[in-house]
Amino acid sequence: MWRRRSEAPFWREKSERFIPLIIALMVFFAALALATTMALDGASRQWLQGAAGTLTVQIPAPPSAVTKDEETARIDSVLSILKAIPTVESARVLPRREIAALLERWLGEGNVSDRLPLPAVIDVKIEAGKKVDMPDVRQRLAAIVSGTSIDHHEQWLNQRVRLAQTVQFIGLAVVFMIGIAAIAIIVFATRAGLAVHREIVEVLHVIGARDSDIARQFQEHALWLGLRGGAFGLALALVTFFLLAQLAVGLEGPFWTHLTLGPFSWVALGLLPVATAVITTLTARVTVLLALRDVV
Amino acid sequence: MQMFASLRRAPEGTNSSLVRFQNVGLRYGLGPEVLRDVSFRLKPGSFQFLTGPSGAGKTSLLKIIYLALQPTRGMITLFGQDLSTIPRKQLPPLRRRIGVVFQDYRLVDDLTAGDNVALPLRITGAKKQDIETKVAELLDWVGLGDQIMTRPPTMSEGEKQRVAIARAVIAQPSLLVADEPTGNIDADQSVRILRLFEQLNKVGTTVVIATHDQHLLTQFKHPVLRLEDGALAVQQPPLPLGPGDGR
Repeated sequence: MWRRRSEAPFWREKSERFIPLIIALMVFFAALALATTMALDGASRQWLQGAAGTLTVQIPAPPSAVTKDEETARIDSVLSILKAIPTVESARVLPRREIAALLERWLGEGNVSDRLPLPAVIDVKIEAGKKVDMPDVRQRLAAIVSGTSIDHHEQWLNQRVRLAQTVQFIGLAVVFMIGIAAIAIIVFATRAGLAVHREIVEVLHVIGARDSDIARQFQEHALWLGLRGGAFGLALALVTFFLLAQLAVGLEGPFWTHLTLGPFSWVALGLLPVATAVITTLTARVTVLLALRDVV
Repeated sequence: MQMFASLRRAPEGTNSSLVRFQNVGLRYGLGPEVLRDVSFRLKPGSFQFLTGPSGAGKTSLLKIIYLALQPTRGMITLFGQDLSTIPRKQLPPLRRRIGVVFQDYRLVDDLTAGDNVALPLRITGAKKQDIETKVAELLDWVGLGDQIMTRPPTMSEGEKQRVAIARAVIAQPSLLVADEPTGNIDADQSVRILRLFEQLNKVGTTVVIATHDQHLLTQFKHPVLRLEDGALAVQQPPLPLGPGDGR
């Protein structure tokens, strides 16, 4: 017989059935933007971490046939210079099979024959926080083996990290704008509700309801709308993530393998419906209180 | 009757005014005044008719009494308090001491008769058991004890009005204001409604009823305040200030 104290069935307008759907779509897009932002943030850190303090030295294949000892001596001369640099922690010559494996990603498996002249590649690690005088090292190496090149990964990755950070900023801006749009929708819906139910609000007012009592009717309804819409939108987003993960199976390369979401990211996404409900609730409450301020 | 146990109230104080209007004027926007220099007093426990032709300002006057409108000039004392000095936050407790019966009932169609009647008690945070008991009592008193679960759209005009009256009195208001409570119902129902109001008055509730039904004015002989063109045509004789006035 008795309804819950907080229930106000007279606030249910047929037009409101679209509001959870709109909220669901907003949460869906916000989840996509947020997940992209968080994934890129994690990936950027890992790229920088992995690339920080590393160099790759390529010694070109000799122009004419040399003996294995001569080849080894060429490489060792470069290696000795690198190891003599005080800030170099380690220098490792990559075995041919590792180089071949890297090339097979581009050339196809089995297309890198043993007779294919490959450069010698030395993976150099620099001590944390230390630097190397790149022009000096380049000059010294070039004097020993002409054509030797040095790749400073950090420099290369910085550009990509800046791009990733720009995308993150855009993602956060999208989430922010979605939040603003959600607030606008709830303000509009609440004011419409107040107008439609003006007489009932007046009755509650007349029988002694405080503004906060009336606002509670609307905010509880908005809370329910926000939770429903938020949960549905998140569920939709999770299905999308799962599908994307399935499509990405088998993709290799640091770019793809580092695009993951950690535990904190999943928690943040899981809180989206809660955040949505808080936003819709507070917005409805403030809207009603401001509107009632003009009433005697 | 057991009903009276719910509605009987402590007397307000016989010498003070429950409501005091002094040179009250009301204007909507920049238009002409709809109420002009209205002055009167309502003693606690009194029963007063408010009459006048359509457009005379009866509803506006009642709205000021039940705190839905502010006058544009003049002084009003309600329950011993000067309304011009009361902060807005303190108006809800005053409103809870006033029961209002609207001409168009203003029942919530989605709620049952019981839930409609219970609204004023729910707002005050009364216990569920108390609410259920009082609602059943009052609906029984107005002759609708078997319609607790009925919704207003399926009720007759007379039944709706009785539910509205039950809602107006469930919180034991000191003052009951009714705006044309018999406007939409037949003569027999009108008499029945007025008798309910008289029963309430007997247990101490001050009653003000706006009506232009001359038959009721003739049949129920109570003092009449007559409004014409926004002014009281027949002013009450000035009464000496009581100890509660202007507190």
